[in-house]
Amino acid sequence: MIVGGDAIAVMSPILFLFYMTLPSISSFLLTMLWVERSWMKWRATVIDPEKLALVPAVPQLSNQNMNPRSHSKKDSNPLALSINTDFQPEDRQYTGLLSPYRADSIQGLASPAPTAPVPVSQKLIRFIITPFPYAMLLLMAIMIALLFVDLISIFGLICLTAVFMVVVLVLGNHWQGLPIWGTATSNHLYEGEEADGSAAHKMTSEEKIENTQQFFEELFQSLDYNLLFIFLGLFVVVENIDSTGIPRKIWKAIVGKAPFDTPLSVTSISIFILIASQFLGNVPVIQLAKPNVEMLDDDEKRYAWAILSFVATVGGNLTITGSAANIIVAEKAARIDPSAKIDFFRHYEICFWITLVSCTLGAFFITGVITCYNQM
Amino acid sequence: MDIFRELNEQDDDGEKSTSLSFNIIAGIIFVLVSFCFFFPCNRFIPLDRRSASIMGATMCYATRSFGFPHNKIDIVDSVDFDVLALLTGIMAINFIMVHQKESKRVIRYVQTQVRNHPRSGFWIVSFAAFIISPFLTNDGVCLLFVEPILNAFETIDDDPPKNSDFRLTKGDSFYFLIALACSSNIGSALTYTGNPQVECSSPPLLTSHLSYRI
Repeated sequence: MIVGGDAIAVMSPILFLFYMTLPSISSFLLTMLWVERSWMKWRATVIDPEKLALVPAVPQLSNQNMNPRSHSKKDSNPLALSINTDFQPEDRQYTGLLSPYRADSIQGLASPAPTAPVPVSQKLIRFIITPFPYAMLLLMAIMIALLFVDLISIFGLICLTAVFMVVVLVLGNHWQGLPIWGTATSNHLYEGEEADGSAAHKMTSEEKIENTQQFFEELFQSLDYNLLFIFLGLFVVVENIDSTGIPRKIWKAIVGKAPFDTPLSVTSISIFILIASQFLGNVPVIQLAKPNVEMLDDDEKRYAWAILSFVATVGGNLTITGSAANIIVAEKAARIDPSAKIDFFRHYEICFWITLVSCTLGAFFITGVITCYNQM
Repeated sequence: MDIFRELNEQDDDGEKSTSLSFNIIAGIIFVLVSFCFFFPCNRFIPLDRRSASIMGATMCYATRSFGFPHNKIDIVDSVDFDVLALLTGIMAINFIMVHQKESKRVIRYVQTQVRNHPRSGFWIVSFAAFIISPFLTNDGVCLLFVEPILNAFETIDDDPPKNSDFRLTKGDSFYFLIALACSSNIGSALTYTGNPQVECSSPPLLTSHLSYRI
């Protein structure tokens, strides 16, 4: 939640969760039903089942072309898709990391081959290492849920979890003399057995070093540097425009020092937050609203922060640049599969109006919940 | 050359004001970058988001360093390294998790649902994103889910599910991605930790709460 410490000074995390539950769930259901309806509508207008069934097979994958700019209409037209009835997964080399048709997936993840006896000590280490990442994730979720994040921020918590996972996997597997990074035929991390189910052989020191290098190479290749560069640049550009004082001047011109005391002021502030956060991002916009909230008493502050945080967060769905999550999805999708490109207009068509409705409805719910709570 | 004179005067609220020329140039850079963010690789400025972002940042730095030395930008201060570290950490966790056998089984199950029962798959994906995002942040959930979803559609044209009367196409993946982004954004509204962007600008949560209590 974007309002962080200012809101928590007047509203405990549990109270915040209580205020937000009904608006969030209603917004979620409303938005998903709308997206599903748009999906079905799109299918009904674009896809003709009879034609689809008669399209001859063309053995070509549209995602072979990795240039996002060369995305043609043919790629997005479902009528141009082919159905190859003689298709065999082994026919193609699928590169997707999680593709159902990768080599190891075809062979099956759990081969029922006989295993060689494994020493008890190794079994014990394996018992600790194998569920370790899950345990770490669970621990992280529990820590966040219990709101112990003040001991270490959520950023630190996630980074620490990542480092712990890597260190335990590397050291744990090396202590056993077994590879971290699977085998040539299995792209999953070490689980103590080869693809055929037999126990993995113990590695020499040279092999350990090579295996570690391979693991880290793959790890660093998996990081999406493009995304990091996008955010890096964006921070500088937003800071630059913020330093001009223009956003603050616009804020003062529109909202001034109006408190959250009338429905009109709540509406006008929310609309400004909604629109401005599409361009500036929600951090600077919430910072703009801070002075207006600080002058209120505690009850009003609770209401103001709840409304502001809900509108700024859910309002991220309004346009494709409204939230970092949208940009992440759009960028990753464009890189992985250019035919799944998300452009501004298609996003707008589906999300714009339903987000406005969700925000309005959520604001009503928050007002209702807080009013009822205060009267109790 | 009066227009280039740095004012650096205090306005009514005690804030420093900047010169008109600086404001115009900063505004132009911002508009251009925003335009590229809304419409990447458009016909007027054929830059993708990454290039636009980096070029925008470079232009900001150059204009402030050379044109307006009094307003020199501190790049390190303006970059929110916490958010970058968070994204990197989530990518690393993601890398480890998706290579675990058990995670693969879960992913395979979801992919099978998406392929064979698209509508229930749609709701599974949306609901999972909604539930996880308050804890793992909306950005983290999106990073985690995009690839498995798209991989479920990878072979959909060559090898359509045999036992489904709902013939999925690659174009359908768009709606799954939209649902993912929307539900993770909405879910992140549930807690203070759901949206990472402003977390760093706030004081530690429990400390604030305790000090308030005291």
